[in-house]
Amino acid sequence: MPYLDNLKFNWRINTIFVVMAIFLLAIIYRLIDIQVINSQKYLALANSQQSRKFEIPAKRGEIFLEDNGQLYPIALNQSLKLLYADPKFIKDPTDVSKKLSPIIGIDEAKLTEALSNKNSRYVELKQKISKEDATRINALKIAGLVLRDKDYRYYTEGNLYSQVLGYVNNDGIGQYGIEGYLDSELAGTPGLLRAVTDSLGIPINSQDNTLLEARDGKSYILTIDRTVQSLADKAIVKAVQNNRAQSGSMIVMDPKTGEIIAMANYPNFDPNNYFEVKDYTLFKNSTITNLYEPGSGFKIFTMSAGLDSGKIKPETTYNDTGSVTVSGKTINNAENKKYGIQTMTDVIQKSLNTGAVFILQALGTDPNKITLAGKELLYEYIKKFGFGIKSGIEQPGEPDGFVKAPKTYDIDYANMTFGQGISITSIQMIIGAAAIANGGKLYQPHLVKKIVDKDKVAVLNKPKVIRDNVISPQTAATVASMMVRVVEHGSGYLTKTKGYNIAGKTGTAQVPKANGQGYEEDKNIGSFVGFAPVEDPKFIILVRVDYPKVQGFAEKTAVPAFAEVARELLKYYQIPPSN
Amino acid sequence: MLRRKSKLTNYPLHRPDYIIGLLVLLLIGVGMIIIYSIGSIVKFNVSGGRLDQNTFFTTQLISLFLGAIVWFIASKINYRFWQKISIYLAVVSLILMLLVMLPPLSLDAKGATRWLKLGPLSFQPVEFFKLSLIILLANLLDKGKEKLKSPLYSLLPFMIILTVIAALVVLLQKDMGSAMVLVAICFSMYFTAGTPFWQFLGSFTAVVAGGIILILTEPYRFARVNTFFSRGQDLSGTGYHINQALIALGSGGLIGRGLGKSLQAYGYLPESINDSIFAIIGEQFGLVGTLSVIVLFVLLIYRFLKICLSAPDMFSRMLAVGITVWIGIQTLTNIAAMLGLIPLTGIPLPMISYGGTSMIFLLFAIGIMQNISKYTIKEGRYANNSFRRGDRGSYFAGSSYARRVKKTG
Repeated sequence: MPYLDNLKFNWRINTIFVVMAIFLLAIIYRLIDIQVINSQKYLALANSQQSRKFEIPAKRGEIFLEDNGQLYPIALNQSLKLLYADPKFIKDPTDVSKKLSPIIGIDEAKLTEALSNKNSRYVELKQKISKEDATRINALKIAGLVLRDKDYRYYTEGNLYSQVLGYVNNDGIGQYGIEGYLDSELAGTPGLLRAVTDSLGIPINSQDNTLLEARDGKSYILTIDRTVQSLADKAIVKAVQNNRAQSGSMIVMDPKTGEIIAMANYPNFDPNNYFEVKDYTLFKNSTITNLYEPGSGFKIFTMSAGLDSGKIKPETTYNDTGSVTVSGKTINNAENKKYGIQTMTDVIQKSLNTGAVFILQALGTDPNKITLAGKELLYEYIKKFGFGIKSGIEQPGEPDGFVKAPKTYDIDYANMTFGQGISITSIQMIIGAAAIANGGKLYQPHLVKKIVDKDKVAVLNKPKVIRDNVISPQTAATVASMMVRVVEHGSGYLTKTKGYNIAGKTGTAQVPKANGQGYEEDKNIGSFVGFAPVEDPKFIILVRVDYPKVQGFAEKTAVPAFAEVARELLKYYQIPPSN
Repeated sequence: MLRRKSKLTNYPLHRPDYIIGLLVLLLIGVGMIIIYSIGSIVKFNVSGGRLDQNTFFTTQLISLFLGAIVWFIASKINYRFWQKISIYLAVVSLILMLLVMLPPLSLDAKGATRWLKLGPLSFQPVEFFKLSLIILLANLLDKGKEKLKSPLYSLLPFMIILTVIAALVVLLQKDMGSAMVLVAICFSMYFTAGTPFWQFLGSFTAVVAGGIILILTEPYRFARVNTFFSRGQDLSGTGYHINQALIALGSGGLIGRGLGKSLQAYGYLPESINDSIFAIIGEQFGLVGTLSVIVLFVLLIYRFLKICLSAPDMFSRMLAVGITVWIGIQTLTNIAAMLGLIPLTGIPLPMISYGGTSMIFLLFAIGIMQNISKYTIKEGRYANNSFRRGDRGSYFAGSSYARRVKKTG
């Protein structure tokens, strides 16, 4: 039978199955090798390609002012796009440039060159692309062009708050001003998503994903008053321009809380276009960072020390011979004037250097010469007024300043009594003067009024007293009344305002040479610190005009700016005339 | 030796092998579960991030429905019918294979034209070609069974068929994987038919030589083989696929990530529901899953082996061998490629991979096997026994034989 003959070939069928079985054994061996023995190795490979960490950006806190109970933003976030290209995917750079150039306004040739750089995978083309332009770019449907969401900082008032606010750089890091000082608080904490992703790196919803939520930055409401800031800004611009000065600044503060109501510098910059600034010193808030010798304005502290220690009285007299010799060196009055027998009130009103040295002598054990005890007492008062230590205001780059120790030469201390050889900042000057205005309390100056945290509740940043009893209220009142005389009869006459008692003190400081040997010939810093009304001060203002080209003392350079703002403020705060 | 009627009746001797049906349903079930679980993911990637309905699953369900009808019909039609029309089937399949080259009907996918496009339907003629070739070869070997020693009747037609395979499948459709399966089927059938060794060895040498030439002359084929031999060096190009398959299998470990928790399907592993589906099984169900699938295939092939050994005549015997080797070799090749044991060839895992044409023709073949199982004859010790009651004998192929035979014996 033919078919049954073939049955003898059954072994051939079995052979084929044996071959397949051997093949199968190899498969099973390999399967165990991959899935059991080397499983961990492949699992690690899988994790490394399937898992990614994603940083979830935290929203940067915004900065506001309060204006009649309404929040007014001065620094906010704008959600715009950043355009970049991956030249690897750009097939025809010339064609792409031709289409893209009119939208983003970048020169076609430049664009072509940038897009032709095949070595790079990331070429930034343009920042701050609006939604409309983004739609137009998307409509082009060009592979290799990527639009990424990015928050940009927008400063609503441009130059007005420049140095106070600082700016946020391209990497999202706050620089200078509030942005720099409170950067970590404003920036918040970015969240982290550890997620499995698809092959394109897009996260997949999975139970194994872990999410650490981003904590948005805190927002801040500042103490600055919009209206006052505008006034201060206008006044200082005018002062600098009229005096052809190099720069100028003005601080307006509430003497009874330490709240900064206005803080203006000129020249300034637009933080929206910070990258256009060539001179980086412009970024610094000079009222905080610049050390200077205050000059005569400092006499109010010497006077306070004398009166508060009880060593002198306003009626105490001395003989002004126009000069006084200390350790063989002669100290003259300004313009070498001689006045004869003078009271302490005259010392402030006429700004007598000899009188200031007299107070230092009076402070010591022997009224006829400078003693260590006198220096120590003056030093104590100077420190009490907050000099030689950072005020702690929310601005970066604040120096301590420098007050010479009592053991130093007598001549140095004699100079210090009228503000030479001591380096201070404007903010130290104004809080010290505020202590005189408010009856002896040294307040910490501050710019932050309220903090708005994640839970959206505004936390009030309460005024902080650094020192309660710098001088007694009586002393403060006495010095203040002396300062009124400066405005009524002395160097501050330009700010005399009918019906109001305004206190103030000018200072025309010399500028030490960079080498420390003597002073610059034709440079001075004119300043005026004043407050009003004396009976119940609502504001204290410090004006500084640096290196004016116009001849004259502070009474010509700084006082007009003070007068302008002070008069406006009396109206603004609706302060009734006191006489 | 058992005496047997020289002319076999058309009347079935016993019930078909239902175990085969059960195993096939289990394998299809595994495939459907995998396609259901990751189909939407794959679709998501294919459609470029658009979350679509899992059309892969519904399409496969339709294919399965058509396949089930074909399966049922094939199991009812006497296998000898296929012998009668074997020539026509071969001619039709050849024409379909050539039609692929006709532009309006061809569908180009991944640089190879293997698809026929008829409106919304697409069709892979090579699957039909495989089955019709098996039927044609079985017919030829049956007709020439007494003259197999003569090269004119065995070697010549064999070489002609191999040349046709090489020309159509490899050169025109660039489908090396299917060609390898087809060659394995042909060799197995010729070998088991009892051709002389010298013929077998000679043709085998010729095919190996031809295969090497085909590999060396086609850059992409050469690249695949080269990748295989320099494994782990090129992870971006052709090495990427195999590397991703290994990561899927390895990261699954012993028990896997769990159903629907595949991560490799998210665009990492190419052809996740087609050629690479075995790796996804490994990722989701671990070694337990992969071995279970292998056990199902082993049991199926074992049942097929029984049918091969006890097939009632030369034609059915050759048909059974052809179909068994088809499914067996295709399974082994697919899995071995996923494991990096052999170069990637791009053939689906029978009954499990997504793909309508493959599913329909495999079920067609399984129907034929089940039909043959109704006529199997048991040799040896139990030849005269029936340990199962009923006129149709056992549900299990080869485990019993019909009373009718006993009576005549």
